[in-house]
Amino acid sequence: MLEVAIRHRVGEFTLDAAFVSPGGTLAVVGPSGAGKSLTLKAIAGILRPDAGRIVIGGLVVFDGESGLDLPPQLRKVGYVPQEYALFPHLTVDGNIGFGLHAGADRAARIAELLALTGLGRQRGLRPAQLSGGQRQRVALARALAVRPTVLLLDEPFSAVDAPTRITLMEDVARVLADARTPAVLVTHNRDEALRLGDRIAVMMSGRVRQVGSPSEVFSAPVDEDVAAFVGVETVVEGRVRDVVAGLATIAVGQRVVEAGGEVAAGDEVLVCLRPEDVTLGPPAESAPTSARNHLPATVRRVTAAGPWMRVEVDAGFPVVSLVTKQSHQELQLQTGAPVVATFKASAVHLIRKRGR
Amino acid sequence: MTSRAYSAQRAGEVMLAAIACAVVFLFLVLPVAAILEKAAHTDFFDEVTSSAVTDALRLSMVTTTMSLGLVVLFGTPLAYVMARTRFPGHAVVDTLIDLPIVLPPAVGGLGLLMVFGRRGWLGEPLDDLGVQVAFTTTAVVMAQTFVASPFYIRSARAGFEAAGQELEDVARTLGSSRSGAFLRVAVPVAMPALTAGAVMAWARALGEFGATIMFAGSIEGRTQTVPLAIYRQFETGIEAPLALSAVLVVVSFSVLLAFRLLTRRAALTL
Repeated sequence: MLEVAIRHRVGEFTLDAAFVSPGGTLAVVGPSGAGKSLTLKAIAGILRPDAGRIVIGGLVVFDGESGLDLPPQLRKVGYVPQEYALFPHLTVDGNIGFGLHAGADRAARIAELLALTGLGRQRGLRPAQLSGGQRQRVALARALAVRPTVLLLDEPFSAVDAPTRITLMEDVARVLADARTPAVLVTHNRDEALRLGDRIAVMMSGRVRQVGSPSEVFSAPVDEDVAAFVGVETVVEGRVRDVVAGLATIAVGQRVVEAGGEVAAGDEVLVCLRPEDVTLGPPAESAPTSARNHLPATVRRVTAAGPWMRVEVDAGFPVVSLVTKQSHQELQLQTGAPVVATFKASAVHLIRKRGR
Repeated sequence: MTSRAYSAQRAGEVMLAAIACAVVFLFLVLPVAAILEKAAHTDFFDEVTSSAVTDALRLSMVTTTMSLGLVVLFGTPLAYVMARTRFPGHAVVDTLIDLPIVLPPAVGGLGLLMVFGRRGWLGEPLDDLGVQVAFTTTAVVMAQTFVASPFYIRSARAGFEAAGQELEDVARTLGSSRSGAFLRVAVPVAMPALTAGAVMAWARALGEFGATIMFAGSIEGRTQTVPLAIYRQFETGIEAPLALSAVLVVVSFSVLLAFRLLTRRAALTL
């Protein structure tokens, strides 16, 4: 459990961040300059906020009113900065063991983390001799070695190139799950946030605008700024039933959706759908099309969005569709009207949360 | 560009490089070579084993070691503070640190005399207590420390700046105190810069002449270091100065070369 409510001024910029993370991984997502890194530094105790309160796992580490400000070494946080900041003069072993006290336990703990991160063969190397991905795993292992109450990750994938990023995300997700350590992950990348966050906090210009599950944040942004940043999308949780010739059948609530993607039966996934890919039609019509997904639905809400009408329907789960004003009138899409939401299997973007 | 014009330009470049090499040869290599060659024609071993010379060599080794110790002991924290903090007057302090590099050493020596001499600000009360500083071996160390410190502090500061604050931040989240992070992370990471600065400061202290002669005088066995001995012996003959100079050339060259090779190896293993 992490509670943060802080205020801090740096020149013209004011950070005014407040959020609560009950556990698991909280992904703080927002554009650069939103104050995400400052927030992490304040939690770590590297930056002293002007005012506010920070509680980590029941321990008050900062309280502006009483002037309490625990130094970083007493906060029990694991901090992984953007470029990892590995100690260049120490080996992988030395880096991982930096925070451990000398003794027999130290060697055992280092061995545990080498096994967890798969770095056994690199243990004698120095950071300069490692690849970007290996460096990242050393930084993770070093932070986890001291059994922190919360792990703080600042843009963990910004220092690696795009092709390795996907593999690394899998690695990090696995390590976080295995270590069972609550984490706060800062990123400007929506996919990373969706992939790794159990909950998502959207931060813009110094403020946390919205905190919630991925589907809440992405399907129902609280305001236009958040919507513009996350991109209005349907994001719902589902579970892969089976995969036949690359086409996955996914149970979403009581409904079934077909989609392509590198997933296996039993995987928990996020089903993402862009509103422009969703077609709405009258319920009776059943003319054959190439689209694989036809879901009977009810119109819930209609709002104007520039030249479009944004139509939220309930198809057993919330789906958003963008239609022209003309279609809106012709199809009589008032609240409560029955429709069929249609989209192609290839328009569905699957994000694998964890395998079974 | 035609090939003729190209080859003409190329010839010009070669010519310029040749002139630069010739100038360097004339001003750097020849004087050093001349000292070694002329020294070889003296009774070298008799000269370097005379008491005046061995005293000077011993005194130089002792005083430069002590002044280097002082420079490192007080210069390291100062360099760290200058690298990590910004405060009003930071630029002024920075300039003061560098001042001995541009100031004629004789000015530094005079200044030290005005503070620690018998009539000086601190020298007078010290004299009342029976403590004399000027014209003692202590004064030699102080003069060397004054002129050598900027070389170390500049290099150390650059080293701490390059090491960056973030490494220490991470060390602190891993349980280190501020001073623990300084000793376990900042110092080892900045070590190549610290060593380079220490070598330069030591070399500067070894060659120190002007401040020493103003503040410590040239008393054989007490304040007469190698550079002062060379100058003093020069009044009576050329043999002893040549032998001493040759020793200084060989020692300085060996230390600098050894340092080069050592740091190169360190850079390769990093």
